[in-house]
Amino acid sequence: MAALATKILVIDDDVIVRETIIQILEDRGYQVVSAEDGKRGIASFRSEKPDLVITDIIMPEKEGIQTITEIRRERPDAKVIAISGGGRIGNTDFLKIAQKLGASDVIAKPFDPDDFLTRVSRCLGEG
Amino acid sequence: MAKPKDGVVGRLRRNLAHMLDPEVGTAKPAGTAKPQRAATAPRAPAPAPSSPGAEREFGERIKILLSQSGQKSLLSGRVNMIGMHKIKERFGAEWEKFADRADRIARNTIERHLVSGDIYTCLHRVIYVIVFARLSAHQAQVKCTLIADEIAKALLGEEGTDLLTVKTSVKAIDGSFRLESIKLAEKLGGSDGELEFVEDETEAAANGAAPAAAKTENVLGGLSFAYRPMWDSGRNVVSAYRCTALLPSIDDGTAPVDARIVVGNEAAVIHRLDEAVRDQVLKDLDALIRDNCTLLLSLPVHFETLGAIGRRRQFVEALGKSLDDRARKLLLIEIQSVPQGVPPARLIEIVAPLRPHCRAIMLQLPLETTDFTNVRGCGALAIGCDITDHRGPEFMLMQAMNRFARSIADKAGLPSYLHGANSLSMVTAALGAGFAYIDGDAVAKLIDHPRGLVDFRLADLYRPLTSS
Repeated sequence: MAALATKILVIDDDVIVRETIIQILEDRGYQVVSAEDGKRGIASFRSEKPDLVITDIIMPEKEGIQTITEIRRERPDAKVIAISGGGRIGNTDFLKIAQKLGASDVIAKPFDPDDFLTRVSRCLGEG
Repeated sequence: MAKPKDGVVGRLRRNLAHMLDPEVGTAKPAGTAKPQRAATAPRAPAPAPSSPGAEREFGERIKILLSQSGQKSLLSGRVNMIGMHKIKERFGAEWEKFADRADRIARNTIERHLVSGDIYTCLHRVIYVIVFARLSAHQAQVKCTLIADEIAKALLGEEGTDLLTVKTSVKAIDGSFRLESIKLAEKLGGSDGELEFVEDETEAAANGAAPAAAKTENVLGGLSFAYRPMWDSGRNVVSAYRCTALLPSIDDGTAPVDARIVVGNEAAVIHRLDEAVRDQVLKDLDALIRDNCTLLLSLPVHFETLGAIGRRRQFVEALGKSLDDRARKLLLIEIQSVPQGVPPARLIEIVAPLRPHCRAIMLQLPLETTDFTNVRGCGALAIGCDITDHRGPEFMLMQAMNRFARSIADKAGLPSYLHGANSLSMVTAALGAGFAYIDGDAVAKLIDHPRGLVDFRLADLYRPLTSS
């Protein structure tokens, strides 16, 4: 069971994906805040100071890789997981770049909830 | 018939508490947003001067405003003014309580209606001067009147529509213009041209007209050209460069010309523009072949030009005279501003004469287009859109892009292209939607002369992030 104080920020413009991730995380006991685009995500990162950020790549206002870069610039030790469905093109290239630019882990959509939680836990350094 | 003053003031007083509500005038209807910032986006006006000493500053700002509109000589009707003097008079001593809120409502309303290139400023929270960069005189007057009507209704309901003043510039001769009866000349105080003010709109309308040829030259004066690299995202290469016509902008700057002059201008202006672009591309193609450069040049031409038989013939004949086999293989022709729903036979009539003179033809349609069955089989290689001047939230733009690209793929079986991806979020959205060819400031800026094919991969998009 995750420590109740662990806060995770979820950034995704797709409301269904966002709510699904929130549900998965909250069921595990994490405290979750969310944002619907990169610009709002950065603002939330500053105000909420989460322990982990999970961000989509293709988003309006500010896309995910820019978001990751700015987060890491503000807090170099920030933990970020990048997720991407890639749209009509593959997501591999996006996720590779995200990892190069500081994402701790990358997950392709659609993903298995258990595998997702394992990676979240690993990122947070939980036992 | 004039309304009794007490009656109006009484209603104003009853409205006052509502007007002082912080939420009034600030909420935007769903789906709207402030104009996005782009190369020619409206600039936020400085606060209006509130003291006599600041009037000179206001004059300077009007000068800057006019230069920022991108026209070295103002065209009649593009500068308009909304005045709230009568409302201020009706409020009398209570105006000061109301003024901030009224100003906020006016600004929000104006900003919702501005597009790229339009700008405005205000004086004393009573006068709002708007410069419409791309509308004809008539369109600008209509739009300004609609804005004023919306402001009046927001402030005072139906009772308010008679209480706003709308004036338009009625003559422009190389920096001089005529507006309302305010002595803007005194406020500007500079030597950059005289300012005169007339109330007589009949005289103004007559004076504002100019011979078509002179107007064309005025509108296209100072034309120059650059090229926009187009990214083939599937092959990871920039292999085509789209010719972009530019007009002088602020000081020594330039800005892409199309949107600025096409709307509301006569077909003659559009035709002249298309001819100028064609001649430039043909000249540059010659130079590339002499230098043994292998890349594609994209020549944009408006549907309006090709839609008229005589102009189409002239345009195509010039291509035929200038192009040899080698040059034809390096030329793409993009037909811009194709309206939705053009019958297939009409499209073939327009596309067919061009095909022998180029490598491929592309059709540019509105982003809102969802039915592409008419373009299948007309001879076009790719179908695209331009999002440069689209307003509204990006999430709605992304939804439209997804629909557009998916519909082209499903219904026309053709690849799609997108112009105007000026932010990384729009580039990634275009990639996600499946656009095969993408250009815009976030991919690559305009360049003077294309030199060759350039490898360009997804990682190259993000290089500026890693180098800062």
